[in-house]
Amino acid sequence: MTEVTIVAAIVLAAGYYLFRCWRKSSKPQGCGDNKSCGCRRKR
Amino acid sequence: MRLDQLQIGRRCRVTAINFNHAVCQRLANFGLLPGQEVEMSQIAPFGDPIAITFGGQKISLRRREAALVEVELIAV
Amino acid sequence: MTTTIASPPAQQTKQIALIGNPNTGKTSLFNCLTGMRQRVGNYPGVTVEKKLGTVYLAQGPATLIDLPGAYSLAASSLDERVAVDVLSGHLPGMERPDAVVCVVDATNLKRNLFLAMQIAELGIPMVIALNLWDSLEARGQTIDVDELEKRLGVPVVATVARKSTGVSELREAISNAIQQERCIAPMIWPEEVDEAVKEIQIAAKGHTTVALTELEVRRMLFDAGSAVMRRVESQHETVRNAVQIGREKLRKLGLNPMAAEAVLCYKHLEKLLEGIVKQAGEAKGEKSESIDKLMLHRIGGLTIFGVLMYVVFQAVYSWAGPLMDLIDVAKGAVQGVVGGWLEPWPILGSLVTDGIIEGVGAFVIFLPQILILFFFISLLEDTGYMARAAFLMDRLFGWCGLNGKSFVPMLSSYACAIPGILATRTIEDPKARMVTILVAPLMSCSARLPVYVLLIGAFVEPRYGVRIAGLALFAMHLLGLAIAIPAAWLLTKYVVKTKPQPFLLELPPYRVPRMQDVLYRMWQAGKEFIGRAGTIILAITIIVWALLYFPRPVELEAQVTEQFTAQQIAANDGHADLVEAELADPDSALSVELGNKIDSAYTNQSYMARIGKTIQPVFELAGFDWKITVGVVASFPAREVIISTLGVIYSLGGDVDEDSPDLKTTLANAKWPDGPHAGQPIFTLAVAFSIMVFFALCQQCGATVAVIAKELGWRWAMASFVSMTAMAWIGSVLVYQIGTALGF
Repeated sequence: MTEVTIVAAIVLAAGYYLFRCWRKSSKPQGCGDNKSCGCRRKR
Repeated sequence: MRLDQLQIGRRCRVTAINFNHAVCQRLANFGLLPGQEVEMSQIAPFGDPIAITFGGQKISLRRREAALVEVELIAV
Repeated sequence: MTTTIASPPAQQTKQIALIGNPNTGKTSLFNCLTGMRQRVGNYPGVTVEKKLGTVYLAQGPATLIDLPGAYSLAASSLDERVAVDVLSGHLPGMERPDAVVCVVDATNLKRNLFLAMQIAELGIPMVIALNLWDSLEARGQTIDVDELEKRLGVPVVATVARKSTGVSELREAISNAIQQERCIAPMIWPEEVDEAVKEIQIAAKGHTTVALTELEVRRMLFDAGSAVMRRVESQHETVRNAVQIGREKLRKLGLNPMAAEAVLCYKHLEKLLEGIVKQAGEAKGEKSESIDKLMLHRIGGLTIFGVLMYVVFQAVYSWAGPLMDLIDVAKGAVQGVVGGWLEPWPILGSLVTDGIIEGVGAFVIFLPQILILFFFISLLEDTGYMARAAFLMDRLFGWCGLNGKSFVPMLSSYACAIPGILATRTIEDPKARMVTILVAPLMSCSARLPVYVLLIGAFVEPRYGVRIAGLALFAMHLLGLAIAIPAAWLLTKYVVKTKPQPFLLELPPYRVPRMQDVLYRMWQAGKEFIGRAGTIILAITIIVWALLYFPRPVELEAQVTEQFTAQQIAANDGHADLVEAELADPDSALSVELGNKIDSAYTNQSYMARIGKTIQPVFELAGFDWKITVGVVASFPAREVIISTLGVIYSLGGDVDEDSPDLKTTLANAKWPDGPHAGQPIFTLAVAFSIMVFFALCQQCGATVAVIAKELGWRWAMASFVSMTAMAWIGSVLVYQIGTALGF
């Protein structure tokens, strides 16, 4: 039982990590109100 | 005559540059300004780009951009 | 916006910026000053590399920021924009530097000091490093350093970064510069320029989040497409008008606003540098010029280029081989040892050995290729040949939106797209770089080779002979390139909206590279590859393992064993005791076969297989049965997995390779069990080529997706993945349908 729990935790952690990477990179970074950072995203 | 029409080894002096193109500002920052002497050093094997020498440096640029620079030949 | 212009409190570590023209040995000097104490990252929101190091000064440790190489601060390229922002203190999270070291090529003072004069506007204490002093001496020239120091008003230090000379003097000069705050005497502009600057500053007041420095205002005045302009709220009209009025004033002076800065600054420098450079000895002929006569020759140049590229490609392709085998063996050994430890916990054991070690190992195996490629790239760059290669190749690549510098990344992608994509960092033009990254995965990488070898060996060679088989292999390698060129053209024209940069490239004099720099760059590339993308790969690996492993009903094993035993007993005329005896020995042929059958049964009902079976109708048009579909789906993380997956599905065990005769005959004998083609072989020639075309065009490489995501962001990575998969599907359907119609 504990083995299954450990494996499930690892798999979920991996899934969460990928999800977080995805979220982080699909959001504009470091732009704030400063338009100098070269972020090409249209607002 | 234009800079892109020069033959290899020929020297010329810049007479005018079409500064309406952003690339010419970059060329100017390299020191390519009216009055500057330029030598055509190489032409790439497929005919484009070209390499020019001026002010102790060698710069390569495409013919389309070189055509924006007017030059006059200097007699050797 | 929290950044302030006020100087930071004294106890804070000092920030020193290192700036200079490209090809001035700036990186060597950075390495000399900081040694191994370096950190590499990205500036927020942009892909410009941010390099920080620690330098020890008299005051204690200080941070050295290596700014991207720039010829001027006209903020038209991303690199220059970052440089302007850092120096103005307008980059979020970064303080304005306390001092700036301007690296200057001693053999080309005027052009190099042009940049220094622009920075002078900021009033930051400066030190000038006169690098490449040895090249100056080789020309028989010398510079009156004391006089130059007096005229500029800042310390000037002669250095030879390649030989680490003058570095301690430079360090001392930096310490003094911070204390004494000596700034370079700024240029004296005509009154009109000063007036225009003041007017723009007044007009911009209240329309920017931070007050603009004089440098930034001047950039707005002089540069056509200045990035600084974007900082002004929605390009406010009053500001724009003020800029227009200012430019009018320049025109009245007889100066074109776009050239005014260069004209005035070069005139100023002309006077400033009068009599500074002296001919000390005999002037020697330019060596670089005569080398170029050969290197850029119509025939000789192309031949040398061809030979050099062949060596690089061979090195990446075959020298890496033994090292990759070594990693493979090590991976197997680790799997064995760890598998032994985890024997009491089969699920965890499978996760660690078949999932994590297998997946991460399959990724780390590319490390030798990366290291070898980067060794050559640094060598080619530091000698000055890379610029020549770009010069030679520009015409071939320029028309479809790439440029001469795309050649090396494209070539190395033939070995592996990952080093290829990392190598695009040498392309300055962001648009060309982006397009190169997007088409690089189409090049036929070495991981596609096993698939080609297996299918051509099984279906082309027996029928048409070795010569045609070789031709087919070559054609498969050309296919990617044939698709990549029009794809690049389309991307440039319709998709990538970044403004293209003109191809303006300095061909620097040939130089002997500093080995430490070459090795350092190689090490850095390897470290980054393992560290950054490795984390994502690990996560993907775990997910894929779970999809292939679960569900795991215990009764399935018993069922398969029972069925298999019954079959074997029947085949042995009812001698149950014989069969059972053989199955009791775990190493017997029968036991191995049973083990493979069990693996196969589990794989065939795993989530991955269910996905495969569900989407099989999609691939039916391409002639795939569900087993091929599962193989294709399972190999999305890494395409070479198809071989072992097919092995598992056809119950041959996962250890088959592309040369194994078992797999070849099994594939050749596979027949449709039911449906419209019942009884006919699954693998016709059309199916074999359909599969190969799919593999040639598809983005079946998790590592590549991760690297693209790192370089361009996840959106582009997903776009690349989806479009390549779509292209692969269309391609394979076309091949299958046309091939079948023609009777293959």
